[in-house]
Amino acid sequence: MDPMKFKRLNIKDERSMVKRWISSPLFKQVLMYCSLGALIGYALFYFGQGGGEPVLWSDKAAENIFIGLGFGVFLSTSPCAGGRCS
Amino acid sequence: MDFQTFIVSFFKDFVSILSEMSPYLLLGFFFAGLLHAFIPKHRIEKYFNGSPFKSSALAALFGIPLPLCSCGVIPTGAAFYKNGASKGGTVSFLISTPQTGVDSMLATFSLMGLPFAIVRPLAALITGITGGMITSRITRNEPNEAKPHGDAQNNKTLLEKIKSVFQYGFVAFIQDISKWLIIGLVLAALISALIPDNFFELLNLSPFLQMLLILAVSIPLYICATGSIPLAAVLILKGISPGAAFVLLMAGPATNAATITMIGKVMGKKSLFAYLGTIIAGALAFGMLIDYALPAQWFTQIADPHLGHQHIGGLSWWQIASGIAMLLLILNGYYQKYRAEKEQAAPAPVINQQTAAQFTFRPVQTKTLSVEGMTCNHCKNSVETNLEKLDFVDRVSVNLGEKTVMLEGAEIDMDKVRDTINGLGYTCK
Repeated sequence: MDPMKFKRLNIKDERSMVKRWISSPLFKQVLMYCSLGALIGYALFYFGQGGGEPVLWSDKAAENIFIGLGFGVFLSTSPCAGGRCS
Repeated sequence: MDFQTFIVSFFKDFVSILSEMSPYLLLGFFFAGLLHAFIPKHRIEKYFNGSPFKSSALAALFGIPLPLCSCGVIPTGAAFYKNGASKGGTVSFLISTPQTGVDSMLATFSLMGLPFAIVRPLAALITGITGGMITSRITRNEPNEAKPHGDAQNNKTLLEKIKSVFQYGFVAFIQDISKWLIIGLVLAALISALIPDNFFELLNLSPFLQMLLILAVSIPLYICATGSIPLAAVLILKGISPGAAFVLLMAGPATNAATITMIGKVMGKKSLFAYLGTIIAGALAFGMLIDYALPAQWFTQIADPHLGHQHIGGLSWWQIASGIAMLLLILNGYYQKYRAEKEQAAPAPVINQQTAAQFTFRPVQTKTLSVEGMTCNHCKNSVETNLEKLDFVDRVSVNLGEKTVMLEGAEIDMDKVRDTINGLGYTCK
């Protein structure tokens, strides 16, 4: 019996690359991890301050938020963190 | 103390303890991944036989650095025993492994200092060897039901092993211990915020009585080696004797209701008594040694500069970075678990069974059964690996959330399935 043949169906998304990226699940995941990272960074700044009256904002807070954003991007795009490298 | 002050104090303590532990924990998770990827368990178990001392000593030495939590050690120990390890070697492994691991040794050093970080693995080694030798002696007339099996080959390439280091160390292992780590951190922060300093000194209990009280709580308590560290450190700050804190560090992770049930069921009552007796006696002996024989300042002064309201200059950038990474990894672990469970809960495509039936010309059955005692990824892997070895099973899937095992295959022999699961220390309903 001849092997079955399948015709490949090519369906292309007609939206622009940016729009496709924004609507992708990966973008939502990156956004979620970045928000959480930034939030954790700020919480560590606020509750990790030394003695005296705590301040709400300083350069250190911005630095922590950037570190949180960085880890958010790294973790949400890392294949191992997504369970895709075992 | 008003509510707002309490909340701020709680979070300050939580952040303080977390930031002290995180760098060492991350390093520990990396080592845990390395051990998992490069030292396969089937290579370890062949050393678990021989003379009582040799098998107990080797089992304890292998078990100490292994990153297995108190739940993960149950299926691993049962599998070693079923695959031919002696009872003494298995009990030694079950005693020493959950007490420490590379991650908890580093975390102990970070919060409690070098003396505790040295005494902890030493106690695990001595109690492991002692428990193993006692078990070998009292069970020498019992038949060994274990059946050795051929050495399985580890076919992973170097690249796959490197990937496995990160997948296991920073995802699977964190998924297993994160709940207990968070419980430990929250309890420690609560005690730190609520209980006044030197509270236990005011109770005026003798150190031995404190040890007995902690022991009574620790034996059935289910807490991992890492999760117990912040709790023990804060208890020392609140005035408990370092020996009593050590009893918590040792007996808390080493025993719990699930391990006790598994050892009694799989290895018999004599092994269970040897196991429990060694841990109780060992914890008390090492607690007394710390309180009465070793210099007190080794174990009391070390926690003060690190915890509570002591830090003055704020957190350094590397503590912040590792704290963020740690919390994000914990959240990532929960998110991946949620996604996996969601995918598993989705209805299986009908085409699988239809095509299987068409092309294999045999009826494909699907059976689901409830299993008690599966708590972590180690349990899941152990059950899936052992059931996949059965000839009539094509596919196995464990759902930890619902505590069920789903089997696919032709003419599934449920008695054999139940025997396999029960043999691993779990209970089929």
